[in-house]
Amino acid sequence: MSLRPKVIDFNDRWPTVLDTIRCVISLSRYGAINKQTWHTHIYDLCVSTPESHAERLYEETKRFLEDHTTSMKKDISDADQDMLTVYVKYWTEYSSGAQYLNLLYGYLNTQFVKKRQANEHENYPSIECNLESNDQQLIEIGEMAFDCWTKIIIEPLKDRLVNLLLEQIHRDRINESVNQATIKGVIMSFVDVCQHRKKFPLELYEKSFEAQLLQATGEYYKQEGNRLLSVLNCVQYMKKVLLLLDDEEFRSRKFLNPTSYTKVYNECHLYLIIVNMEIFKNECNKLIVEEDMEALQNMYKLLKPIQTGIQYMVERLQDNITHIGNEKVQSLKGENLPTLFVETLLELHNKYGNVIRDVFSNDQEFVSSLDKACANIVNMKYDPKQASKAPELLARYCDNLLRKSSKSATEQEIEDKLLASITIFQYLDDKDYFQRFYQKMLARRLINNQSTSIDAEEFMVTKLKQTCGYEFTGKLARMFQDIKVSDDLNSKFLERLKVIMSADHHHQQHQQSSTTTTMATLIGIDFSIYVLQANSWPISQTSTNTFSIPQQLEKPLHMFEEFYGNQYNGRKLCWMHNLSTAEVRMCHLDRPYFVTMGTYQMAILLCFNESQRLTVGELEEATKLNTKELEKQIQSLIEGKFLLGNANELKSDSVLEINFDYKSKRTKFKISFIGQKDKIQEAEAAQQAADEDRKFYLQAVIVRIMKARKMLKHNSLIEEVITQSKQRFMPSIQLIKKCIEILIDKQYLKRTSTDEYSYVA
Amino acid sequence: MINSCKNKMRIRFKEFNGVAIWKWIANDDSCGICRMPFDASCSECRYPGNDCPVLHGECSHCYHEHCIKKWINSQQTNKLCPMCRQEWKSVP
Amino acid sequence: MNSNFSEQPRATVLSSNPQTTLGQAQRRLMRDLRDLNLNKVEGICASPVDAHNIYLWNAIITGPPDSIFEDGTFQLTMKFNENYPNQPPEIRFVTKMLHPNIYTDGSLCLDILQNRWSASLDVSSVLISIRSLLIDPNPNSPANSAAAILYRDNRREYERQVRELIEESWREDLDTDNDDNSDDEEMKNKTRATTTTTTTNTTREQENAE
Repeated sequence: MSLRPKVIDFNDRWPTVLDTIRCVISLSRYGAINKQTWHTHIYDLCVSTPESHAERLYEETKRFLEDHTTSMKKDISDADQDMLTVYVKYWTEYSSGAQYLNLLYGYLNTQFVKKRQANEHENYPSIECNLESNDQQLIEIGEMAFDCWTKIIIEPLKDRLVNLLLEQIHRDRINESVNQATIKGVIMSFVDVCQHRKKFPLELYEKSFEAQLLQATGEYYKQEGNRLLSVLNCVQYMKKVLLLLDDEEFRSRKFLNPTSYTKVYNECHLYLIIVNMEIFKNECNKLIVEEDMEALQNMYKLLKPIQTGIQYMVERLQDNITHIGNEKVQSLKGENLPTLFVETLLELHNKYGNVIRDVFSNDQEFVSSLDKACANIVNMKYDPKQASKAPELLARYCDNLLRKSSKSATEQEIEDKLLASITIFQYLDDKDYFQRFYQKMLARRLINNQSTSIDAEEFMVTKLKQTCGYEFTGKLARMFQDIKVSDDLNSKFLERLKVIMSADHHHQQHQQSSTTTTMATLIGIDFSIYVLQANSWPISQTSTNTFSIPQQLEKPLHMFEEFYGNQYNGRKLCWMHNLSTAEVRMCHLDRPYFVTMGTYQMAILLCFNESQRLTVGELEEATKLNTKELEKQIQSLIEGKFLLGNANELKSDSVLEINFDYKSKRTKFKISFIGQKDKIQEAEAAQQAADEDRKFYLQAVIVRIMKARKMLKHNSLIEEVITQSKQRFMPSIQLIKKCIEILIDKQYLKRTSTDEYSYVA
Repeated sequence: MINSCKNKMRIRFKEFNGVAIWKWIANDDSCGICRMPFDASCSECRYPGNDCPVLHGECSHCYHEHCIKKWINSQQTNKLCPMCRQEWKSVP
Repeated sequence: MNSNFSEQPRATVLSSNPQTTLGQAQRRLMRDLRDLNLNKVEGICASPVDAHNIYLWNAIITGPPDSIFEDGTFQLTMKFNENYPNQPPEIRFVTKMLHPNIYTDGSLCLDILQNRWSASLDVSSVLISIRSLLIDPNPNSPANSAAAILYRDNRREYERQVRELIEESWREDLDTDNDDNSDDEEMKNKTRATTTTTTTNTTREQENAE
C-alpha cells in the first residue's frame, strides 16, 4: 500500500465503506472487517487528489447515521408499552457500535476533523462555541453518532420514556417487581450519550429525567408521610421512616446516576421529616423523660442531617438533666453530705455520659449540653445570699478520701475516686474557694499526720496541677516539701541527740543498741517537729499568744531550736503552739486513756497534777495564756468532760475540778481543740479572706487589661475580665463594677464618657 | 483504788508533735535596700522563703540576697555594706 | 498580707499584691513616699510631680532655724531611674541659691550623691543631708567658687547675700500669688527690681543706724 495520494472516485469506494459501517453499527458479524483494507479506504479517500474526499466522506457518514437512528426510532416508538425494553436493546447495540466506529474513523478524526476544529478556534478564539449546537461545526464521528441518537431518538421520545420510567420506579416503591437492568439502562443512556460533551454533560439527564424524578419522589413521599402519620404514633413513625430512607437509598443505587443519590435522599427527607418537625419536637421531651433510648436514637439519626435539627433535642436533654440533678441534690440530707453530693453527681454524670455515648454517638453538642447541665447543678445556689456549697463539699469529700480511716480502701480505689472528683471540680465556678478549703484541710492532715498515703496526696495535687496550672498548686507542693524536709530534720535531730547523749555520762548506763534508741528513751518523751515555711501554709503568723511551755518540754524544744539554728544559718524558729499537739496518758481514771490534744489544753491539764481544784486565775498564772485564749481552751475541756465547771461563766476566781469520773468507749483518741463557736467564726473569717483575695485579683486583672488596651468600653471590659478570671472563679458583675470604682478612686482608671474608661499611668 | 490514783501522776506526757515556722534572724525586720520586710520576698521575687534568702554580712548587717547582690554588682570599686560602709563579706 | 490600708498612696496597694508588675525602683520609691508621709521629718517635704511618673519628684527644704537660711523655702527636683536605690538620684535646686557646694545651675556637689552613695539611703535621708549641708558647707569641693571665696574670706558679705536671695524669693512667691497674668510680667519685673533696691537700701540704712 502506498501512501501517495491517488485519484480516487468516491462513488466507487463508498458502497464498500457503507457496508462496513452498517455492520459495525449494528454489531453484526457480517463479514469480518478487514482492518487493513478499511484503513486504506479511509486514507485514500482523505488524501485523494486532486481534491480530498474527506468532507464528502464525513457528510455521507453523517447522513447514514441519521437514517439509521431514524429507523430505530420508529421501532422504539411503535413498541408502546415495551418501549423501554426495545430502547435499551437498541441503545446497547448502538452505543458500542458507535464507539467502535469512532475508532475506525481514526484517521478522519485526527486529520480532518480536529484540524478544522483548531482552525475554527484560531479564527474565532473569543467565541466559546458549543460545537454540538452548530451543525456547521465538525465533530468526531463517535460524538456525531451520539448526537444523532440524542437529537433523533431521545428528544422526541423523552416524555414518553420518562413517564414510563417514573411508572416503573413507582411500582418498585410499592414493592412490585420491575426489570432493574432495563430501567437503569434507559436512565444511564441519558448520561452516557452526552458524556463526550465538554460543557454540561449532565444537562440532558438532569433536565429531562432527574427533575421529573425528584418531583415525583416528593409527591409520593408527601402522601406517604401523611398516610403513615395518620396510622402510626411518633415512635413507630420514626422507625418506619428510617426504613423508608434506607429503602430509597438502595433504590437510588439500583437505578440512578450517582449524582442523584443525595438529591433524592434530600427530597425524601424533606417530606418525611422536615415538614413534620413539630411532631418530633413535641414528642422529644416525653421520650427523654421516659428514657426511651431506641426512639431517641432513631430521632437523632433522623434529625442529625438537618442543620439545626438536633438543637431542640439538645436543649431538652440539658433541661432535663439539670432538673433531675437539682432535685436530687436538694433532697440530700444527713451526715455524710459530701460523699452523697459527689456520688450523686458522678452517678448522674456517668449515666448521661453513657446515654450520650450509646444513643447519640458521642455527638459533641450533646456532650456540651451535659457539661452545661452539670455546671448548673454543681453551682446551684440554694440560698441566693450565700455562695454555692459545692466547693466546700467537694473539698470535704477529698479530705475524707485522703484521711486515715477505719475503712481500708485500696490505693487504686482512692485514686479512682479522686480522679472522678476532678471531673466535678472542673464544673465548679468558685474554684478559688475550693483551693482555700483544700489547702486548709491538707494543712490539717499533714500537721496531724492524718494522711492515708502521701502518694495519694501527691497524686491529687498532680491532677489539680494538670487541670489548673502551677499557680494553683504551687503552695500545695511547697507544703509537701516542708513535710519531707521536716521528716529529714527529725531523724537528723535524733542522730544528733544520740551523739550528745552518748557524750553525757549520766545516760551511759541506759545506753541501748542504736536500733531501739528512740526519742523517748533519750529525752523522756516522743518528739517530732514540723518546721514550715510560713507563706505557703494557711497559717496566720500574727497569733502571738503568750504561753509558758510546760517544764517537760522546755529542754527538748530548746535543743531542737539550737539544732535548727546550726542546720540553717541565719534562721530562727517561732513556735506555733496553737497548732502543736501532744499525746497524754490519763492515769487517774477507771482505765488508762491515751488522748491527743492541743498543747494549750495539755498545759492546763498538767496543772491538775499538782492539785485537784484550780481557779481560772491560777491557771492563767501557770500557763501565761491570755484570758480569751484560756477561756476558749477551758471551755473545750469542759465540753469534752475532762474538767468540771461552768463553761458559760468563767471568771478569774471560777473553780475548775478535774473529772475523775470521765469515761469513754475508746481508749485512744483525739479531741478537738476548737470549740463549736469558733468553727463558725473561722468559716466566716475564711470566707471574708477569700472574698478579699478575689477583689485584689480582679483589680490586678483590670489594671493589666487596661494597661494593654488603654481605652475600653464598659461592656468590653467586663467581658474581658470574666474571660480572664473564669479559670479561677466566676466573678459577679457587681463585684467587677465595685473593683472598677475602687480603681477609679485610686486613680488607676478614669471615666472618659458614660461607658468608657481609660488607663491612667 | 480511786484514792491511790489521786496521788499518782494524773496526766503523764507521752508524745509531742510540735509545729513551728522559721524566720530569718535579722536585727531589724526589713531589708535596708528594698525596704521590704524579711518575712516577705524582695521586690523582685514572688514568694519569700527558700528562694529569696537573707544574707548576713560580717559587719552584722543583713539584706535580701538579691538586693545586696544587685548593689555589689553595681559598684565599680569598693564593695561596701550600704549601712556601715565596711567592706562587705557575707557569712556563709 | 497585712491590713493597714488606711493611708497608703495608690500604688502601694498593688505592691502588696504580687500579681502586678512594678519594678524594683518603683516599689522602693513607693515605700520612700509612704515613709515620708508616715514619719514626718521637720524641714523636708517631697512627693512625685504627678501620678504618672514616679521617677520625678519635687522637694522642698526649709532653712534650719537659727541660721542664715532660716525662714527660707528652697525648691528642688529629684530625678530617679530604674537602678534606684543602687544608683543615686540627680538632684538640683530650682530656687536660686548661693552656697559653696551648689553650682549656679542648681546642681549639687555632695559626696553621698556621688561616690559615697549607699543603697540604704532614701529620699528622706538624702534631703536631711542636703538640709544640713546648707549650714555646713565643705570648702574643699567648691562648686560655686565665688560663693566659696566669699564664705572663706568675707563671711559677713556671704551671709548678707544669702539673706538677700531669701528675701527675693519671698517677694517672688508673693507676686506669683497675687497676679498670674503674663502680660504684666514685664511691669512686675520692673517693680520688683526697684522694690528690691529700695528694701536693700532700707535694710542697709537700718543696719547703719544700729
